[in-house]
Amino acid sequence: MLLLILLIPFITGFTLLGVRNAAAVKVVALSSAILTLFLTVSLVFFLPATRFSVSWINFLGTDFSLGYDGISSIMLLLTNLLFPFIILAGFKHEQKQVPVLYALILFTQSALIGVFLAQNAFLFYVFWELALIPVYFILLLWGGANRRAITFKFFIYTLTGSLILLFGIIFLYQLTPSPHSTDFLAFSQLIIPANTQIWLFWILFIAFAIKMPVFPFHTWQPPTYTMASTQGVMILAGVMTKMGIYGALRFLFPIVPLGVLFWQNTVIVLSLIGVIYASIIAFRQTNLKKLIAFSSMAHISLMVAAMFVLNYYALQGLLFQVISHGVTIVALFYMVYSIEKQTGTLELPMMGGLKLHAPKMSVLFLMVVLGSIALPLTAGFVGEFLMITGLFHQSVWFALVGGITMVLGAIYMLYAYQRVMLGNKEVNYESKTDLKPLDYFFLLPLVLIILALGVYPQPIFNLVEQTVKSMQNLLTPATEVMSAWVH
Amino acid sequence: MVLLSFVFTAVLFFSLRSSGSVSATVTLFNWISIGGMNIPFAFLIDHLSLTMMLIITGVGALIHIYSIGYMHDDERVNSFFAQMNLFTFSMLLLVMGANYLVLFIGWEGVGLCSYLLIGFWFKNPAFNYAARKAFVMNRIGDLGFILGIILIFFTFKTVTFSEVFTQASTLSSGTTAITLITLFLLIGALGKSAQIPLFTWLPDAMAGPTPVSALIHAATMVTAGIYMIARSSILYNLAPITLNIIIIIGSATAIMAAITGLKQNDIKKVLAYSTVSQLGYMFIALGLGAYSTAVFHLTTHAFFKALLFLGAGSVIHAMSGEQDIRKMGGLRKKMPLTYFTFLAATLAISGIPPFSGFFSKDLILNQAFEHSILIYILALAGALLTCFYMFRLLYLVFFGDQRLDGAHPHESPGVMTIPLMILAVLSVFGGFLNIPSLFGGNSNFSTFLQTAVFSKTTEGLSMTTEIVLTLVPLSLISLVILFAYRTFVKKAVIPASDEASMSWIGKIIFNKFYFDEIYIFAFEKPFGFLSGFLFHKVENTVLDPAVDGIGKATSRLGSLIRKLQQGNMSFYLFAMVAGILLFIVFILIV
Amino acid sequence: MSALIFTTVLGIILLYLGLTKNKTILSPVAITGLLITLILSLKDWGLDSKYFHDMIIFDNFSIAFNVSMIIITIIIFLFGIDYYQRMELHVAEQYALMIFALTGAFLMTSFSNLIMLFLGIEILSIPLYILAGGKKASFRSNEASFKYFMLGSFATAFFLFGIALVYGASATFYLPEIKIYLAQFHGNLPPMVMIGLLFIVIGVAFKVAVAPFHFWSPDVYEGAPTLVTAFMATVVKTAGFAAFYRLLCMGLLPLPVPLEKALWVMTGLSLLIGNLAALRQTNFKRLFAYSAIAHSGFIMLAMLSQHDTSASVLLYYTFVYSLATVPLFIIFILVKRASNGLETLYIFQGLYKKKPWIAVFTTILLVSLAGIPPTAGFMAKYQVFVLSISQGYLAISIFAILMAVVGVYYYFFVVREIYTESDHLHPIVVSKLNAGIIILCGIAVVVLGIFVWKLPI
Repeated sequence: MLLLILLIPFITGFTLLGVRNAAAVKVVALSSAILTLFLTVSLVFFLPATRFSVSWINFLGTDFSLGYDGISSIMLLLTNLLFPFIILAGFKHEQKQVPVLYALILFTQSALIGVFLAQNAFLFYVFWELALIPVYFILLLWGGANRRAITFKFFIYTLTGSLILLFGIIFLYQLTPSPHSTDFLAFSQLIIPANTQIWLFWILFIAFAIKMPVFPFHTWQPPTYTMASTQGVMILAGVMTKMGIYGALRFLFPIVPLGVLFWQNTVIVLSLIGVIYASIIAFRQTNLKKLIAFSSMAHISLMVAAMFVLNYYALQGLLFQVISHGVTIVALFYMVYSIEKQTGTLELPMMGGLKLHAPKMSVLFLMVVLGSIALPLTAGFVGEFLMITGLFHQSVWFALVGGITMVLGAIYMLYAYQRVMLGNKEVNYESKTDLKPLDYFFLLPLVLIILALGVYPQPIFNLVEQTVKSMQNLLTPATEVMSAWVH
Repeated sequence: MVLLSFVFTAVLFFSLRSSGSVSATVTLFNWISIGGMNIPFAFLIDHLSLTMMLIITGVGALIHIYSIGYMHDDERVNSFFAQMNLFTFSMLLLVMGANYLVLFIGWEGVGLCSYLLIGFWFKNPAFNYAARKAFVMNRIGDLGFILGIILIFFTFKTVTFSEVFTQASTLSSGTTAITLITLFLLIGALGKSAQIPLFTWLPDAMAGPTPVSALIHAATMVTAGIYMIARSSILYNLAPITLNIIIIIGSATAIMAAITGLKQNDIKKVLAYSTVSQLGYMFIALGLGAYSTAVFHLTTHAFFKALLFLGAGSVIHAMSGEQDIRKMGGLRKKMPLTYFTFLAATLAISGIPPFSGFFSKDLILNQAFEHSILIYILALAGALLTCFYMFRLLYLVFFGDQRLDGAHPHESPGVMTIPLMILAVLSVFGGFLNIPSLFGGNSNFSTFLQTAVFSKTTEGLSMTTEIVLTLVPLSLISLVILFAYRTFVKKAVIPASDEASMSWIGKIIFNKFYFDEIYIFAFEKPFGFLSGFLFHKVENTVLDPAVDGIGKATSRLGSLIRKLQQGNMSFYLFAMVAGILLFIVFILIV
Repeated sequence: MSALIFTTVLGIILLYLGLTKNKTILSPVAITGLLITLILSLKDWGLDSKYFHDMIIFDNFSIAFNVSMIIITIIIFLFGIDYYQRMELHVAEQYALMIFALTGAFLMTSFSNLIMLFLGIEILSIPLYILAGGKKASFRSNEASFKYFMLGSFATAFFLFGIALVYGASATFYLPEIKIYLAQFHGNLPPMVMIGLLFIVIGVAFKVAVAPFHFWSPDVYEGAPTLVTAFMATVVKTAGFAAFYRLLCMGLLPLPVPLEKALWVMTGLSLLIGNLAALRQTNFKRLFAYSAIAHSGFIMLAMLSQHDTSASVLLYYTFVYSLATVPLFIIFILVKRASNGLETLYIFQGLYKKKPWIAVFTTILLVSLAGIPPTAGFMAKYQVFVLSISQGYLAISIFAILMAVVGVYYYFFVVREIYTESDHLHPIVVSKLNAGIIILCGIAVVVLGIFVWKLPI
C-alpha cells in the first residue's frame, strides 16, 4: 500500500512523457493525483498501520523501509490533498511542454511522499534531494522574469543546507553501534553527549531552517515565490515548507533533545523575529505575490516558534496548522493567479476596483484572506490559537509577539484585499469576466476544507494524538538531563 | 428572518421563565478536545444572554425592516442583507456562547461583519480605509482577549463559563492571575466597545450605511465589551485594580467623547461620539461593579441610540445623502414623524424623566456618587454635555429655516417610519423595566439579571440623597436645554465652517483632540517607515547581499586562484619546485 | 598477464592496420580486442597470479581497476568511431597510442615494485605526450603536448630521485620489504627516507593532478583533442589513483605522520583550488580540468581515511566518475561542432530545445558528477564521507562538503545553460550510436546509484 502510494505518481509521471495530447496529459495527471489522495485517505483514516521494508544497501545499514506515524500521516495527507489542486491549477490556461511539466509535478509528489514515508535517514535524504530536482526544473523552465539567477540561488542555498544535513546523518550513522544503521529508530536510541548535541543540532537544523525558512535564512524565498509559476509556488509554499517542519520534528526532537533544549530559546526568538519582520515587510510590498510570500514566511515562522516551545498544545496546533496553512496558501496563490489573469499585473498600485467586475471572485478572495488571518471558524484560527497557547506556556512575551501576527496579518492582508478588489479605479483590465466554473471547482473545495476544519478539527487532532504524546515523553527526561548539565 | 428569530427568542424567553430554571446549556459537539483542553461548541442561555438576545433580535428586526426602505435603491441590496444577517448570527453566537472561545468566535465574527458593512460602499477609498481601521483596532483588542482566554485556560484548565466561575469564586481577591486575566479581557473590551485608547475607529465607522451604524455601531456590537465584562463579573469582582482602571477609562472616554461631540457637524459623527460617550458610561457602571446597571443602560441605549441613528438615516435619506447639519434646518415641518421620534430619543438620551435614559443614567449617577464624588461630577458633566450637543443637533436639524437650496426633503416611507415609531415607544417606556424603589418600583430588570450577573453589593443611599441626586441633574439639564435653545434657535447660530475663526480649544475639539493625527504620527507612519526600512535596508542591503556575498567572495577567491594559471611554463615549473620545497620543509618540521 | 600481453599486441596490430588506410575497421578491431582483454582479465579473477619475481601481482584489486579502465576505454572508442571519422590521417596511431597507454595503466595497478611503477607511469605518459599534440595543425594542441611533456618529465625526475633515495636507505624496490624496513623506525624516519617517500608520492600526485601539482592539467586538458582529454580525465586518473592507493597500502602503511599531514594538505588544496577555480570558469574543458582536480581531492579523502573498504570506494568513485565524464566530453564535442568551434559553457544553450532527450541525459550525468541522489555520483560521495567521518576526520569532511556545494554550483551552471533557450549556428547532429551510448551511460549512472553501491574487488 505504501509502495503503491509512492509509485503511482512516479509511474504516471513517466507514462506522461510519452503522451502527446496536452489535455489528456492533464486529465491523466489529475486522475493519478486523485487516486493517490483516495488511497492516502483510506490509509490514514481507515486502514491499520502498515510498514514496507525490503533490504537495500545492507553494508551501509540502510533498508528501503517505508512507514508512517501521526506526523507522517499529516504530511502525507497534506501533500496528496494539495497535488490534485496543484495539477488542477494548470487546467485554465495553455502551458508549454505540458507532458514534461506534469511529469515533473508528479515526480515531485512522489519524492515528497517518499520523504514523509522514509523510515531511515538515508532514504529520507535521498527523497529530500530528489524532491528538489524536479522543482528546480519547474521553476527554471516555467518561471517568470529573472528566473535563471533566482532559481540558481534557491537551488544552491537549499542544497548547501542539505549537504550539511548529510554530514549530520553520516555522523550519526557512525555513532550507532556496529553494525551501523541509518534507521531513525537507531538514531533515536543513541545517547549522544550534551556537548556534541549542541553543535550537532545546527548541523541537522540548518537544512530545515533554510527550507522552512527561518529568519535569517529566508532570503531566497520571496524572490523565488515571486518568480515561480503558480504551480511551482504552490508546491513550494504549500508542501515544501512543510518538509522543513517535518524534518525538524523527525531529526531534532528524538535525536538531539538536549541540543533542542539548549537552543530552544534562540530558535524561538529567531522565529519570532521572523514573524514580526516578515509581517512588517509584507505591508510595504507592491507586488501581490511577494506580499503573500512574506505573509507565508510570517506564518511559517510562527509555526517554528511553536514547534520549539515543546508544548503539547503547541505541537498539536503546529501539526494542525500544517494542513491549514498548506490549504490556505494554495488557495491564496490561486487567487493571485486568477487576479493576474484578470488584471494582467501583480503590482498593487496598478490595481483596484476589481470587485466591480468580479464580485464573486472578490467574495472568495476575502474568504481565503480571512482564513489566512485566522478568523475563528476557519482552520487557521484553531491552529494559531493552540500555537499561541503553547507559546504562552513558555512565556507571555512569546505569546504576545506571536499573537501580533493576528494584528499585522490583518493589516497587510486587508490592505492587499482593498488594493485589489475595492475602490473605484478605472483600470483597463485585460478581461472583465468573473470566475468560471473551473475556478469554483478549484476554490470551493479548498474554502470548504478551511471552514470544515475550523468548525470540526477533531479528526486531525486524533490523527496525531499518539505521536505528539510520545514526543512529549521523549523530551521529559531530556529536560532533566539538561538542567543537571547546566548546573 | 431576524423577526423570526426574535419570535423564537421571545418564545425561549418565556419558556425559560416558565420552566423556572435560571440557565440552560446546549452542547452541539466537542470543538477542540485534546489532552487537558476540552472546548465544546456549546450555548448557554441564561438571563443575561436572553436579555442580549432580545435586544439583538428585537432591535435588529426593526432595523432590518427599516433597511428595506433605506437600501431599496442600492444595487447590492442582496449582499447587504446577507451581511446584516451574518452579523446577527455572529452577535447571537457571541452572547449565546457557553465558553470564552465560542464567545470569541462571535466576537471576531461581528468584527468581520462590521468590516464588511463599514466598507459596504467599496468604491470610496476612505470608507475602505475606515473599515480596515476598525478591523485592525478591533484585532488589537482581540489579541488581548485571546491572551486573556489562554491565561484563563492555564489558570482554570477550562474556558467554560460555569466551570471558570465556580473555580474563581474560591480564589481570593487581587490574585495576579485574575488581575492579568481581567486586564487582558479588558483590552478586548476596549477595542470592541470603542474606549480610549482604541476608540478612533468608531467615528470613522460611520462610513457604513446608516442602518449599519444603528445596528452595529450603536445598539449591539459595540456593547459586546460590556456584555463580556458583565459576563465575567465574578472575575472582575476579584480584581479591584482592574475595576479602578475601568472607571478611569470609562469616565475619561465619556467626557472626552462628549466634548468632541460638541463641535462635530456631521450628523452621524455627533451620534458616533455620543455612542462612545455612552459606552463610557456603561464602563463607569461596570467599574463600579454595577454590572446589571450597565446592562440596563445598554438596553435603553440600544433603544434610543438605534432610534437616533435611524432618525438620522431618515433625515439623510430625505436630504439625498447630505450629512452636514449646517446645511439642514427646518425639517420639523417636512418630516414630522421623524422629528417626533427623534425628539423622543433626544429626551431619552438627555435623561429627562420619564424617558428610558433617565432611569438608567440616574442609576449610574447614583452609584458613582456612592463610590466617589469626583466620578459623580465627571459623569454629571458628561451628561450635561450630552444634553447640550444632542439638543444642538436637534435644533440645527429640525428648527430654523432650510439652509440647503434645491433640496426637497420629504417624509420617509412607512417601512422606515414604523420602526422609528416602535423604537420611540421603547425609548419612552423602556425605562419602566427597572423602576427603582424611589419611584415605587422593584428594579425588575436588575433582579432578573441577578442569576447571571454578580454585581457588587452596595449599601444603598438614603431616600433624601436619592431625591437630591435626581433633582440636581434634572435642573441642570433643563438649564442646558434652554441655553441650547437660545443659541441655536433664537440666535440661529450656525457653527463656523472654517477652522481659522475658532479659538485654540475649539480647534482641538473640532479636530477630535488630534487623536487620529497622533495615531497616524505615532503608529502608522513609523510602521510604514519601518516596513520600508526593513525591506530596503535590512532585507535588500544586509541579509540578502550577505548571502550573495558569501557566494561572491567564494567566486572572487576562485578568480584569484585562476589568476595563477596564466599558461606560463616557467611559472608552472617555479610553482612546482616551490611546492616541492615547501613540502620538504613541511615534512621535516612536522 | 595474458591480458597485458594481448593489449600490447593489439596496439601493434592497430598500428599495422593503419597502413591499410581503412579507417572503418579500426575501431571495431580495437573494441573487439578490448573485449577480449576484458575476458582475459576476468579469467585471472581470484588467482593472485604473480610474475617477474613478484614484481607484478594481478590480484583482485588490479583486475577490478583494469576492468573498469577497459570498459571506459571501450566507451571512448565507441565514441571515437564518430569522432575520428572526420580526421584524415594517423587515426590508427591514435587508437594504438591509447592502447599502449592502457598497457601502462595495467602495470600501474598491479605493481609491487617501485621500478614497475616507474615503468607503468612512463608507458602511460609517453603516448599521452604524443596524443596531447594530436592536432598537429593546432597551436594549442602542440603547446599542450609540450607543456605536458616538460612538466611530466620534471615530475618523473623527482619520482626517480625519490626511488633512489628510498633504495639507498632500504636497499630494495619491493614495497612489502620497504614496509618492513619502515616499520622498524616506529614513525621516526630518517630525513632522507622521508624526502624520498615524499618525492615518490609527489611523482604520483602529479599524474593524478593533485594540487599543488595540478598546474599542467587545465592547459593540457584544454589544448589536447577532446577525446584524448576524456581519456586523460578518466583512464589516466583511475590508473593514477589505483597506483597511489597500492603504493600507500602495500608500502607505506601506517603512514608516517609528516607524510600523512602532507597528503592531507594536498587533499585540502585540491578540494579548494579545484572547486573554486572552476567556479568562474567559462571554458568547458578547463572547467572539467578543475573539476577533475576537485574530484581528486574527494578521492584522496577516501584514500587517506584508511579502512577495509577504502579500495572499494576508490574503485566505485573512479568508475562512476569516468562513466559520467566521458559522455559529457562527447556531448561537448557535439555542441561545439554546432557552434563554430567555440568552447564556452554558453554553447550548451538551447540543447534542451533541440535535443530534449540528450539534454535530459546530460543533466543526469552532470547531476551524478555533482553528487546528487539518486545517481551513482551521490553514492560515491556518500561512501567517501562515510569513510572519512567514521575515521573521525570531521573538519576536513565538513570542508569537503562545503566544497561539494561549490561543485554543485558549477555543474548546475552548465545544467542551467542547457535549459536556456537560444539558437545554435548549426544544427546539433548526434549519431544514433553516440546517442545510444550517452543514454546508456546515463541509465547506468542511475542504475548504479540505486542498485549497485559497491563493485567487486
